[in-house]
Amino acid sequence: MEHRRSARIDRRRLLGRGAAAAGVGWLGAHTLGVRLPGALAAEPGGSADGDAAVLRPALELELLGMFVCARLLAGGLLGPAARRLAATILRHEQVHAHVLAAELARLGQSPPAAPDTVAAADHELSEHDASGRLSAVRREIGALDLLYEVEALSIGAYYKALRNLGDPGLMLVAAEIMGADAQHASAIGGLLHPGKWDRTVPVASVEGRH
Amino acid sequence: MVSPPPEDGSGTRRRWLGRAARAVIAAGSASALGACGESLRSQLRRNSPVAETDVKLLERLLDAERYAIAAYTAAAPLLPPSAARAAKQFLAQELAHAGGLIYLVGAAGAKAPDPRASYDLGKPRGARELLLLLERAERGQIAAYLTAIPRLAPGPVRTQAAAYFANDAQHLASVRLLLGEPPLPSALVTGRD
Repeated sequence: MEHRRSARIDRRRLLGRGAAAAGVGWLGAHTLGVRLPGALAAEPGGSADGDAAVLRPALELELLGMFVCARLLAGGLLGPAARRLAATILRHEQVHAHVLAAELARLGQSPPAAPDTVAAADHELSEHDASGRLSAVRREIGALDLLYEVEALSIGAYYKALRNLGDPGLMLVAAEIMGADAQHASAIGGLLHPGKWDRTVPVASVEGRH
Repeated sequence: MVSPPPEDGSGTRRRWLGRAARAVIAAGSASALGACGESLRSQLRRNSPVAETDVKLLERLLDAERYAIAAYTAAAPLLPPSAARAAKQFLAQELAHAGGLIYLVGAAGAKAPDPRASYDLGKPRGARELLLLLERAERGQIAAYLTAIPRLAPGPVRTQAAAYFANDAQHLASVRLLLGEPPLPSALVTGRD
């Protein structure tokens, strides 16, 4: 059952509308703390409150990703390769969450609460129209599909944020994290479809799900 | 020195790939600017047009993309089968990025520069050195995008650049994997790890 659900998940759709966009489907389809030069002025209209509101959803998704990763690692469903990957992703997401929470604090806001139960995580997944649920994962393939879906949501959050952020330093941070999440998605795709590059890196314009 | 894919159909050992590349440019540009382009166009209509100040940044990105296109074009036929399949997939995506950037330059009222006559790719020998060339090309693109993204305006142009950047980050991770290196070395993609 989980396998059937997995087959319905369209990785190209999750990762980027840009697939078609890019016209390649037929072919098979700083570090924090680094300040930008002063010449990079924030766009007009960008404000601390505005930037905090833009970053918040991205941090919520990082916290969700951490919870999902940690639960899957504890669940005993993952084989050695998937365990290694999930552990790496969890470490990265902890860094992302730390960075974003620090930026929110700098902007005078407290971070959102992380989900603390499977039900809370599933509720959040449902609010993002995700098809996967943590409580429904029974096998490794389902776990990887869910991780992929969370990464796609996260990429989409940064894609949206990058349109609206006003502070160039935050734009840089958002892009660096978005790139890492895109790499996570391709690494998960590589476990699901070894050697199938059109499934692992399916789209030229990686927008995530937004 | 390696020339970019020939545009006149003349023969080289990479003829087949050059043809594929041109086909992708032709099809890709049209449909890129149809599907993704559709969305980007409508976004640009709703927002301010591409800023004149973005043109230089976009041209630098285009130059980095074209270097990578030359590198993939040269490397793909010489790589073992699995790596060659990856290189062809990534080449198609680099071509799509180039098409999208050319469109954005045009939307700013400028004309994109022609590709260089040739690109200095060094003299890689063997699969490992070819993959190292591709890794350098991807790092070069990532550095260029991270320089440009915070400076680009308006928002839709910035997000389009970020979407191409994210794809190049995936290429870098994949090339590292093919090299036998850890594909996800860092929580932040800076192009320096």
